[in-house]
Amino acid sequence: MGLVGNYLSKVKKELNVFEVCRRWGMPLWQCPEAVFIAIGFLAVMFIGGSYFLGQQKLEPEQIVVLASGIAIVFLAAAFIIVNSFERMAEANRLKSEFLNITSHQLRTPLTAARWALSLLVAAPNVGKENQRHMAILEEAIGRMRRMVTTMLEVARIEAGTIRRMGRRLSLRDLVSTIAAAFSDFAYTSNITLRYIAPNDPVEVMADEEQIRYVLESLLDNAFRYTSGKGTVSISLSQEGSTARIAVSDTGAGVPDKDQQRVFNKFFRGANVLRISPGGMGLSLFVSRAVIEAAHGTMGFLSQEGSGSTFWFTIPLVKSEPPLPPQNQKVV
Amino acid sequence: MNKKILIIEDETGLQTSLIASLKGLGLEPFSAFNGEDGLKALQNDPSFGLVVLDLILPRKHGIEVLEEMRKNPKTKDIPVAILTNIEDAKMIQRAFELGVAAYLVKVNYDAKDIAERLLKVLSA
Repeated sequence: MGLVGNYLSKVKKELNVFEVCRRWGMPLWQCPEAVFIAIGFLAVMFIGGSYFLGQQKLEPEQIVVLASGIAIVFLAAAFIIVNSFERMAEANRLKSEFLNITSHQLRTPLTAARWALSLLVAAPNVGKENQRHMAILEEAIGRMRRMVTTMLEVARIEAGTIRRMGRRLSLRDLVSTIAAAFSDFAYTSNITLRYIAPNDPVEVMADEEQIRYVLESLLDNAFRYTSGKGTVSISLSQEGSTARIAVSDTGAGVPDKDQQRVFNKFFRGANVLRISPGGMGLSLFVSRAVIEAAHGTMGFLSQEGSGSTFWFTIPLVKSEPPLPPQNQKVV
Repeated sequence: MNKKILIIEDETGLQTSLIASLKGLGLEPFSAFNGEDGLKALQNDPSFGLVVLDLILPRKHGIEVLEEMRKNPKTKDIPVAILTNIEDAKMIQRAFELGVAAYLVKVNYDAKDIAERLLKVLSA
């Protein structure tokens, strides 16, 4: 009943043409949904009209005029629909281009600020007060850098040009570096951070910056939505021919009604909005695209109020087969 | 080790930070602020141990600078490290086809990290 109810309410929502067209930001006569319904209505009218007229005795010329009229009305409606879709596609292209240009342009001043600040931090006799101010600046610049990276990745995903370059990468090393970077934050937030990894390097073929982005996003979310005395765990394992990383928390969790939309662009659940009103709702959207580009999969398990586990898998690098005896070098 | 480095970068702020970091490592950085001036500087003095080259430059794009460097017998063997915020796959591929020693994305590093990486390239 719940499923049927959900489905019906979704259908009802989609049939609310006024609401849908308002969401597109288009007038009714240009909105594809409204024009489709209008065409359906006209089609029914014409079928009924044709039947009625068919009962009358019409001259062939009258039938030709009538059929031409119907064809013209349908062609006009089709033209409006095509035109509307073109406008929407163009708006989408412009938005992606704007996002791409803006984020590239933002990177230059951001780099200048980062570099200058790194020199200031390294300068002698900075003083404790100034060190505190610089730490604030470092944190703010780091956050802005992440936002710009996210925007750039979104632009790439939408343009279909997401980076697929990779090199041999040890997930064990990367995960331990990132876990270490989050340990101070865990301590100050009164959250226990657990890290489980095998002794093997767990090598995959992937772009290090992208995998770093995914891991930092998952940990950032886990900490953001877990209150004090909670636990955040990172586990790295090998399952068959894939590496699996899971980030678990004992935080807010994802309500059932939001679970289907967690990876949607700009989606933020109502319960997490209360905890952390900031954020763009893009990191999971980007993360999944990045993992899929590395031929992996991403998913999650969650229960509201109990916490979540977000995981992803990436194919392991195939180990080199041993050389046949005649090719082995004897040193 | 040849310590002379030519930085072709149009952002004065980035030039200032990078120069300070390179000097801190005992290197000798020189500046050019656009592609044409960079090529002129190399033509006048091809004794640089490394060229640090941005891609989006006024007057001449970094890739064009690199192509012209490779065509000129005086400059064709000078090692080049690309330092940019562009992460376009085609651009990266073209840069490596033209034999760059490194391709570094500015925003991913601090000035000190960049200087240390450039030192490694220089001493390779």
